[in-house]
Amino acid sequence: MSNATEITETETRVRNVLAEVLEGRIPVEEITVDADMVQDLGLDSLQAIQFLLRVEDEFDVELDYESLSLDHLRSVRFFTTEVLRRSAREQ
Amino acid sequence: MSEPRQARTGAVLFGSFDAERRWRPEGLASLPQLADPGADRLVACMDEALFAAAEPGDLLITREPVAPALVAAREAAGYTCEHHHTGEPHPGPDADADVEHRLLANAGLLCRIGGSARLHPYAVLPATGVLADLTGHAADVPGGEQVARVNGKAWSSLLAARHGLPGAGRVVRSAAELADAVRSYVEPGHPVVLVKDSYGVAGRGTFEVTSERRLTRLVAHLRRQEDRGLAVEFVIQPRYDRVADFSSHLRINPDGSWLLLGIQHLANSGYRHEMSGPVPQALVGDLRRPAHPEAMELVARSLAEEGYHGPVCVDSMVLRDGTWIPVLEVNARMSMGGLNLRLDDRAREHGLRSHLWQEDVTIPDGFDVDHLLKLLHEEGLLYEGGTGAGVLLLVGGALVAPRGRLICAALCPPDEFPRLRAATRAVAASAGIVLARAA
Repeated sequence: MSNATEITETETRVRNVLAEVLEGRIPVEEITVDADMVQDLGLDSLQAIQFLLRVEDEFDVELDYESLSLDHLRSVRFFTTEVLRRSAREQ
Repeated sequence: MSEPRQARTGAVLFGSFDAERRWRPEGLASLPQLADPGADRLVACMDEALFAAAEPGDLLITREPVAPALVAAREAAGYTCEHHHTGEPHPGPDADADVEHRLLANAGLLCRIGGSARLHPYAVLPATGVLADLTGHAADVPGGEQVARVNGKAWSSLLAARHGLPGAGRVVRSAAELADAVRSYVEPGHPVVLVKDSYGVAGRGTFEVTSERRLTRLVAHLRRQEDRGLAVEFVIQPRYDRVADFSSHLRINPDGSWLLLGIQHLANSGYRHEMSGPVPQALVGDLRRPAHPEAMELVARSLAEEGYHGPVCVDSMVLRDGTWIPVLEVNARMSMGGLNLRLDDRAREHGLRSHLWQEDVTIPDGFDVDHLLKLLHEEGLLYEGGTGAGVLLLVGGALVAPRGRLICAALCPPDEFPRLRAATRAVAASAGIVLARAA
């Protein structure tokens, strides 16, 4: 499996988690990897925590909440590469 | 400030809406959370909505200016209180100061407050007490320490538990105790258990435990804070199978007497307030063990014994099995439901009812609240007083790019509310506002 394919699969799983947290308000196919989760998708601070908790379950990682802010949710791609993969590497 | 008491007229309304954050003692451990400066900015301008509780002759002081077109729209609707603000937003050391601290630094407004008959703060914060002392209104507000204590969920949970009220939350004071309490609810069959910050509000400060893994993560998070010397204080409750939420609004007088001002149906989005409106008559009359008046008497008496007087909002929940939880939390302050009740009192004089709702929105750059008001007027949707149904925009300052909140009240017969809300949303969308979570 190539690296590019792996990233796409991870991003797809992140998008699925996100659609779940948004409770079907935005279908998963309309969530692009570049969409700002806060500004474009309307994720608030409570939903952001729900999203991160579900990501932990989905990927079996532990995120460091104290070092995270809404700014880290600027896009699925940014979150996947900068937060999720880094957390997975550290564990 | 030196005027004789009998010369004073009207009440002064003001106050920060993020009171819980200021009541929260330092040194308490917190749940996992993300900083959200955008939300703080929105809450800072919610005081615009206090006009709903003002009578003609009262004075409303907001933290920031209110759009002149919005003031004009309110006056056209019959809301004619006097209005001042604490200054234009400007960068500087007091840019983030709350309205109470801005008032303390404004001799002119302090003098004006001193000339009023009484204070009606949204909530009594430490700075409110100082302000009341300075302006000769010390008797108008209870002591800050008592107010902070009775607003903690720990206080209301212990009250409910002490009197055997159903659904009382369990107060825990260590990570280990929290783990035991959560597991004790999971075993009898509650798949989701809620961990609530004693001073959490509006969804910030509630953590859902849905699995052992999530509980383990939370306990580790809290243990790290315990190791740093922080104290744990949370309330644990199962997530109940609810069919309806409602809020009861009381006023406690300085002599300890109290009255029920009214009851409001309450709808939440997640754990955050979304709508307050008329409550179905049958909902409260059928409540038993205890009956609604008994439960409210208990809360009011207990608050008075603590030395509290002023407005109170008691949140309750009706469950699918027909039982109810009388005291989910006690908010010893004004509230969105309480403000809607005031709007409702006036709407009823015209055969209408008031329905207050709020929702997150995305706002385009260059958005102008005047434009939205103009569109609402053109569509015949603005409430303009009297018996004609319409909508009041409650907070203009929350409609700023990029993220804002649409906060309105629809004054109409109850069966017309869905249509009026939908029409308002359509007009907002035509003005470029994108609804974040349209129902």
